[in-house]
Order: sequence, then C-alpha cells, then structure tokens
Amino acid sequence: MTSNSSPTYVELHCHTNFSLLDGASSAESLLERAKALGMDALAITDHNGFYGIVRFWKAALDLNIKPVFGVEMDTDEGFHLLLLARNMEGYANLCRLISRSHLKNSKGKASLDFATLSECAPGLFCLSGCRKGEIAANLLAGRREDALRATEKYYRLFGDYFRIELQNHFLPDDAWLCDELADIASRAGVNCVATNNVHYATPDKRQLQDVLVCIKHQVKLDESSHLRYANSEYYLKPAAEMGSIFARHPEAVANTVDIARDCNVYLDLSRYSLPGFDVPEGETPYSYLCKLSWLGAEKKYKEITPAVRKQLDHELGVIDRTGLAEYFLIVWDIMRFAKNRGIPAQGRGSAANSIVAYVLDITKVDPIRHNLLFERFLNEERVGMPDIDVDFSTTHREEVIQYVYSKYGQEYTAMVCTIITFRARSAVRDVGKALGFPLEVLDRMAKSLFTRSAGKIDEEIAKMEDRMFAMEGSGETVSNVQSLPWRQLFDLCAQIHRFPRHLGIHVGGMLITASPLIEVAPIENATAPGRVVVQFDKDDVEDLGLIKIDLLGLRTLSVVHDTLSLVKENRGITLDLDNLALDDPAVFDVLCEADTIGVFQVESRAQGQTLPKMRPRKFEDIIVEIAIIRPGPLQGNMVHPYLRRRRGLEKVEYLHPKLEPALGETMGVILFQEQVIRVAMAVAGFTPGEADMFRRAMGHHRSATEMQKIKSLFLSRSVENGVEEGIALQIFDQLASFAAFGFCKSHAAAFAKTAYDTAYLKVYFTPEFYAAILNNQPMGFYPVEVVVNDAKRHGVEILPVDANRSRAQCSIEGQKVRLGFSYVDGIGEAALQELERERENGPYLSLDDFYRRITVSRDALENLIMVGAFDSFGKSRRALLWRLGELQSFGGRSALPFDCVYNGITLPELSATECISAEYSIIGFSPAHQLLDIYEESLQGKGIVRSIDLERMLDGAEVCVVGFAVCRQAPPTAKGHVFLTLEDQYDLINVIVRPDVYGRYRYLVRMEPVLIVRGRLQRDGKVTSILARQFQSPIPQKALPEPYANKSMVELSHQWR
Amino acid sequence: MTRLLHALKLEIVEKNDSGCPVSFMLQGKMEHVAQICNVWKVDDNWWRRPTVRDYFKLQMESGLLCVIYHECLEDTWYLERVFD
Repeated sequence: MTSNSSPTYVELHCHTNFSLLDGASSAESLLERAKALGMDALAITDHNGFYGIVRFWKAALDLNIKPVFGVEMDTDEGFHLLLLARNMEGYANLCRLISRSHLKNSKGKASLDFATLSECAPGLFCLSGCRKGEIAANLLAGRREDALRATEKYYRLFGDYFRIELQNHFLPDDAWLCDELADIASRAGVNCVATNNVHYATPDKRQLQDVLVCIKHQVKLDESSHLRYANSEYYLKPAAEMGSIFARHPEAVANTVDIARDCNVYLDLSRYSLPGFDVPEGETPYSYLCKLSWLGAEKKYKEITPAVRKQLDHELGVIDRTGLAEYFLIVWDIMRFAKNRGIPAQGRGSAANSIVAYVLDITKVDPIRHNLLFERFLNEERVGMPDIDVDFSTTHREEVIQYVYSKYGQEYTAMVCTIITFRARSAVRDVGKALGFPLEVLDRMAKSLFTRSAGKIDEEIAKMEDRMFAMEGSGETVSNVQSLPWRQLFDLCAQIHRFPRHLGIHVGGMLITASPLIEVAPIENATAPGRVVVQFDKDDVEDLGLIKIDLLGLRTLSVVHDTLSLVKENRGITLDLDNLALDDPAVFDVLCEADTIGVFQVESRAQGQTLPKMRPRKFEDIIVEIAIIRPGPLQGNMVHPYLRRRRGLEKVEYLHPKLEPALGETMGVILFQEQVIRVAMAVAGFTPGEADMFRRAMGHHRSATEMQKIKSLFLSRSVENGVEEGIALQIFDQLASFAAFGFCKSHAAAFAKTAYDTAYLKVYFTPEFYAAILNNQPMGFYPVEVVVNDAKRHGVEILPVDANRSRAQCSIEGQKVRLGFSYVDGIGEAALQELERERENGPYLSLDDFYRRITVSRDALENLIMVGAFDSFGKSRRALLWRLGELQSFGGRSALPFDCVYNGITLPELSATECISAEYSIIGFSPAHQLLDIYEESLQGKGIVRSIDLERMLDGAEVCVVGFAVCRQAPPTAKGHVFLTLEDQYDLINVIVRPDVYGRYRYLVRMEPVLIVRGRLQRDGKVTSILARQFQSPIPQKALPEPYANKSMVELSHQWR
Repeated sequence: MTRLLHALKLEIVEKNDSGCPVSFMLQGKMEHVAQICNVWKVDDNWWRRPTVRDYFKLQMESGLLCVIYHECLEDTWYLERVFD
C-alpha cells in the first residue's frame, strides 16, 4: 500500500461495463484511472455476476494493481449487498452464491436468500451496500429500528468482516445518511468503510451511463429521471477528494486500504481443470492413451513407418509431460460415442496437426501425409491449454451434449457463455431510442450501415445519400446529421462500441471441471430450458487455466449424413466417405469449373473466382484453396503472387534460402499459420515453443511498443542466425501482415476433407445431395432459391409439394427431388408427422378428404393449396381455395360430405405471376420458375444479354445484364469495391462495382432486389465479370411479388455477406 | 414553513477558495454565511438543455435559513428557498 501522508484510499465498490447496462467504463479504463490516481488496489463489484473478473484480473496484473474480486448482489427482499472475496474459499463461496441466486430465477435475474448467504459467508467481507442496501434503505424510509436489526443480523453472520458502507454523491440527503449510518455502526460496534459506488472512470462517461440505464429499462432519457443518478459524482475519485468528502469519517476512508490488504485471491484455476477419466484396471490415463494410440495407428497406417513411429512417440511424450492424457481420452470418448451412434463428427482447427488425434479418430486428416506441424497445436513451452474443436452434424449435436452431461454430471458440466456486445446496428437502435429518435429513422439507418463498428457510424453516414435514412415526411436530410442530437448519437455510439450488452451461449464451448462447477465459476440459466451457462467466455476459461471442449454444430455434416441416408434408401448403397481415395478426377473437374454451389467452404463468390485460376487437381490444392481466400493472405498480398507462380507466370523466389523448406509447398508464399512458426524457427532460430509464442504474439492486436519489442527480438535473433537484417525485416513485415488473420493449415486440411466429400456427393449422388441441402436450410453461402436453380441446372427437377407424395422432409423420386411438407409455412411439427402417418390409411382423395382427415390451420391449408399440394386432384388452385372456404363455413371436419350450392361457379386460374408470387412467399422460391420469369416481357427489347451468352462475348464488350441480387459484398480488403452476384434464369453473373460507381448508385446497389446493370465485360481466364458502369431498376418495387415488395435490400437479409 | 421562490437571481455572491458562498446581497442587505448546513449537486438534462447546479443550504448570520444554488454553466447564483 502507498505510504503517502495524504489519505490513502482504495475503491471497493466499483461497477465495470460488465454490470451489463449499468456501468459506463471498461475494466481496463477503470484500472488505468486507478493507476493514474495512485491506487494500489481496486475492486470489481458488478451486479450479480463475475462476467468481467477475468479481464479485470488480467488488466490489473498488467498494471501492477491488486485486484479485489467481489459482487453486488440483489437480495430476495430487493436490497443490495456488497460481498468481497478474502481468499479462495471466499471466491468459491461467491461462485456458489451467485450461481444459486441465478438458478432459482429465470434467465437474467438473480436474488440472494439469507440462508444461502449464511452458508456461503466464510471467506467473505460483507459491506452494507448503497442506498438500496438494507440498512440505508431502512434509514431513508424512517425505519431506524429495522436498520439497527439488519446491522445486527449481518454482524452476527460476518462478525468483524462486516462493514457499514458510507457513500456521499452530493444528493440532498447523503450527508445526513452518512451520519446516521455512522451512528448505527457505532452503536452496533461495526466499522464503517467509504465507497463511491463507482459506475464510470471519469465524469465525462456519465452521459453514456444514463443511456445504458435507459437501454436496460427500455425507456427514453426524458422518461428516466427516476432510474438515473441525478449527477455525475459516480466516478473513480482520488484519495484526497474522498478524504475531503468524508472529512467527518476519516476512519471510513482509511479502512478501505485494510480491507484491500486482507483480500487475496489469485485466479489460477488449473488444478480444477479436468474431471478425470476412468481407465481399465492396471492402466493410467497415459498408459491407456498410449495403448489406444498405437492400436489406432495400426488401423490407420498399413505400415507403421519410422516417421509415424517417431511422431507418435514425440507427441505422446509431450502429452505425458503436459499432463493432457485425460483430455485426449475425454475427447476420444466423445468421438467414440458419436461414431457408435452414426453421428458425423470430425475434429477441426489446430488439433488436426496431431497424429494422436488422427489415430484416435478425433480428426480425419493424416498429419504425416500433409506435413502438418504438431507444435502449432501443443508444445511444452506453450502458456495456456490447447483447444480441441470438434464439428458434429448440427441435427445430432444435442445428443452429444446430453451424453457429456450424463457422463460427467450436471454439476461438473456447462456451456461457456459468449458476451454479446454492441455493434453498429444495435448501437444505433438502442442509443437512438434512448435519445428519443423516431424508431423508423433508426431502423432505416441501422439497416443501411455497412460497418459493424459503432465507432465508424458517422464516417459512413457522411457518405450516404439523404434517402438512406431520412424518415419520409420528417424533413430529415443528411445535413441534419450535423445537429446536436445526431452528434450526440454518433458520439455515444462510438463510446458504446463493443460494450457488453447481454449474455449468450457459446456455439459449442463446453466446460468440464474436476470440482463442482459452481465452486469454480458462477453459472446461470440459459434461454434453452434446463441449460445452464458459465459466466465466463471462452477466453476467460483459457486464461483461468480451465479446459473447454468445443462441440460445434456443422450443417454440412448434417447434409453429408442425410445424403448418405437418402443414397442408402434410394439406391441401396452404403457409402464410406472415410475411405474415399481423394483423387477422383471428376471431383476436381467440378472444382476447376467452380461448379461448387453446396460444396463446403469453396462455394462463395470469391472462391468461385479463384478456383478456375487455381485449377485444383489434388487434395493439397483444396487445402490451399480454402486457406487462400482469407483476410490474412489477402491483406498480406499473397494471393496473386501464389496464383501467378502456380500458373508459371512468375518465378518462384525466396527472400532467403532458409525459407525454402518452410515455404516450398506454397511456392515461396506464406499461406498457413504453421509456416509462420516454421519461418520463425528457420530465420530467427526460435525453438518450436518460442516460434509459436511469436506467432501468437503477432496474431493479437498489440500496441506499437509491444510490436516493436517482438520485432527487435526477431531481428536480433535472425542476425545471430546469419540472416542479414534488411532481409529479416522484410520477412518480419510479411509475417506481421499475415499473422493476424492467417489460417491454420490443419484446419484448412480438415475442411478440405469435408469439401472433397461434398463435391464427391454432388458429382455422384446429385439428387440426394440437393435434397439433403434443402432439408438443412438455412446453410451455406447462398439463399435457397440459388440452390434450387443450381439443382435445375444440374438436371435435377424439383417437384412441388404434393399431398400424396411429399414426406415431412424433401425426398427422392428417381432422379428428382420432391419438396417436403416442412417447406410450407404454418404446418406445425405434429401435423408434419400426422400428414405422413394418416396417408398409411390410404391416399388423400380430394381436398375434402384431406380436410376431414388432417388437423391443420386454415393458413396452412391455404399455403398447401397455393404451392400446388392439391394440384393432382385436377382442380385449379383458386377453385380449391373457394372450396376450402365452403368447407370451413358449411362443413366442419366431422361433417358428412356435402355439395355446395356455389359449385356451378367457374373461377379463373391463377396467373403465372400470381403462382410464382405465392410460391416465393410461402416456400422462398418457385420449384418450376425463377423470379425473373415475371419480368421477361417487360425486359424484352432492352438489349439484355443472358448469363449463359456472356461466355461467348469478347473481353471488353459493352453489355447489359439483369438479375436478382443474391449476394452483395464489400469486403474490407477490397478498398471500397462492391461485389454483386446476380442470378438470371440461367446462371449467376459476377458484377464488380468500383467505388466511384458505387457512390453514384449506392441506393440502387444496396436496396434494389432486381437490377439491370450496364458495363464492360471482363474476362480473366475462365472467370467472367461485368465491370458496372450504370445501374437501373427494371420495375417499380411495388410490382415485385411478396415477400420482396416494399422491402429494403437489407431486409432480404441473405444478400449481404 | 418553507417558501419556495421563483428562483431569485442573486447579483453579488462572495465565494471562498472551494467555491462555496460566503456572503450574498439580498434585498439591498449583505447576508453572511454562518454555516453551510448541506451541499448537493444536480447535473442533468444533458441531452436537451443541460442543468448543472450546486445547491447550498445555508444558515446566515442574520438567522436566515435558505437554499441558494449556483447555475454552473452560466456562473450565476439564485435564491430558491427560504425557511421561516
């Protein structure tokens, strides 16, 4: 503690922004302020949770400030109570009482009961809390006796570890309240402690605090005076100021230092990390892992070569020395469960670098064959635990999670949380609402934003046309955004950027611990019934030394699973994808042609542009293809050199001969994270561990000073290693630009296997593959109508829903796909089953018959009629609709068949446009048509070139095309260029929009669903694009069929990627 | 009894180093502060027309008990309340 003569003070009641909408400063900024004020310690006491303590702990250690961990709890009686952990027992007790307070309430709520507090009191300091504390609140309500009783109650429980809290924020009755509290304390023999109930680091954050409170309570600032603090006094105050404010109670200020001194918690929880794994008698986890590994190796490799033996020995040694045998066994066991249940599963990420993971069937990529680097996954010098991420078929993932729960127990297992933070759109909506902006203006602005950063909204708005966000009739124009309310909005949005908003559940991270989880980490209810979530996110868990296993859902694996089932059902063939040869020319032909819609990882627009240039002919090429279209290689300017070298247009060169072994496989270009490690080892002579730490250090956002340190180390070690400094500098720059966003080769290899499998299924089992994709929507890069049109282009007819032929899901009829009932809006899960089951009693004979036998809503029946489910009964859709009305009005489900007096009326057929419109509305596409069919007539004579004719046109030709915008992208690496993918009745069309053209046609490009584009045809090898010059909307928007009419582009949400 | 006033502007207010009032002119007579009974601060409405006020409940040497406030953004003083 400081030994200055002026009063010393430590803030013990401090809310960070992890008080979730009741704290306007991050842990980091509060700690920086504390440092500036000369505080040696600082407490974190967020509401009902430990959400922010790990960040706080790390930042405190960085600044050499002692962290004090606490929480401000809501009690059952509606009071507040402040609790601080004195030691690890106290930490565990806080975890326990926070957990219990949450678990007995619904999601997002917590309240502490006195029985739990009594049980969890050991190891804690208890402070009486703010004005909402039981003692202060009773005094303010004039119930002095109750206040005294409450004091005695807490004193009995905590003894000398109970303190009465004094706060003075210059509210009218604060001074009086402090005197009263001090008097009560004195009567009860309890010490006082001064705190400031800090909600922000500095007074200038008060506005943000007010806005956060409004967001929390969903009110406008004008309506919130009863919820907000009346002034800006809730900041982190210097000791001298606190000394002055509490001049009448100097001991209360001095006591803060004593309390901080007595709170000693170090958050290393690694000893709680693994639950243990039962192994057969006579085995240790390590010996059992070795046994399984060697058995697995014998199965995987026909011959255990010296290379395999050496690698397996090496990895097992490292696993033994790092104590991770149980971890591997736990994951192996989960994979074994999945395999026994026929659940597609495979490890991804850096774990695929490990031969042990491969031979245990955790991953599917042979690290020896693909020259992978184990040290990227695990090395003995690595700080922190490695991650094994496993993908499961999305539809089956829950089964796996339930298995883990049942195996290790609910008390030891939970999903980690993910912190949902404010981004541009949510910031505009929430902050704007608090400031009182009209909701429609906010909605329009939010939808029209490109940027995800709430800090860059004003920059982007400045480029927009008036109509992008001006409310009709409001008179708001772009010039108005310079006025005070708009400036306040942008400023507050920038401040709120990346602030935590609420808690979500991580997509797959599961924490399994050795001790009961609620002693290690607080847990609370998730939205899903019966599911609990840890108050720490994945980074926190890693920082605490705990181990999580990522059990992720991958829809493509569901597609693979469903395709295999359909193939077996339809053709009687059982496919074994694990033993595919990975060298089928037909599969590579599909990739070379970029005929990849539906193929995992290589279907995007950017992949489609690169594949014909890359022309993959072997599995390793797919690995590169997956890794190359990433921000790392793009930002590091690696893509074009690689493609040119591959095509023989550029010489393969190395900055230094030492690079050749590391970069030879990618022709001298850095494409994989593993290469960063190998380069660092080769050039700077780093050990594998040092090289991995170097990669990790460069991969994180570092300050200029830290980056300089890393750079100096690399340069000096390179020079020592005989590399000239200038060359080392160039190599460092290449590594630096790549490292932040580069892809791990093992991860790319794991994905490449799935890419190959899906391409193989597309080539040889086309109808089943498309049916499986349709059964797993939404997924992939393209909206469902693009998948359907692609199926048609591959000769797979998509048959409409049919009452007597459809099943719940899409199914196969010969070489055709029959849409399932699940595609029709409004049919519930129960009815889906009933539709098929009832048909076992005989086919449906008519709409009347169907109506009497099946209980579904009128809306669902109308939808079935409108998508043609009853067309086979020989009546027009309009006549069926009429009949449905009659049935409902005169019949009833149990009534006898009847003839209606109106039967003689002849109703006209629906027009083609009406049919298409209805189908798009109900199922999202038309099985027989494409959206542009509607406009064919109106587009005639406009000189429009069909997509399939573009191939025959000359490079540089002026063309005019039309299409439905299926994808619009503005990647940050493209320097303002926008890329559109249009689709006409025949194929996809690539459109490139330069920044100047985009500036002129921003509104059309962003908002119009159907576009006429004039521009110059560009051909690069086999890739054809249109360099746009002019945009036009072919039709008034109101003429569009639902659901596209009167909708902004962004509402057609799939289109922006 | 308390009389709420319609914020009577005080033309002359003397302050000490901490910014607290020492004396002010009221109805042509100089009133001297005997004791500051309470101090509170209001800082609100920042999104419209900001209000930043320091309030002082004062016991004057004349026996007058009153509340005055400092309108910080305008640096003006007002008498708000007089206690009988």
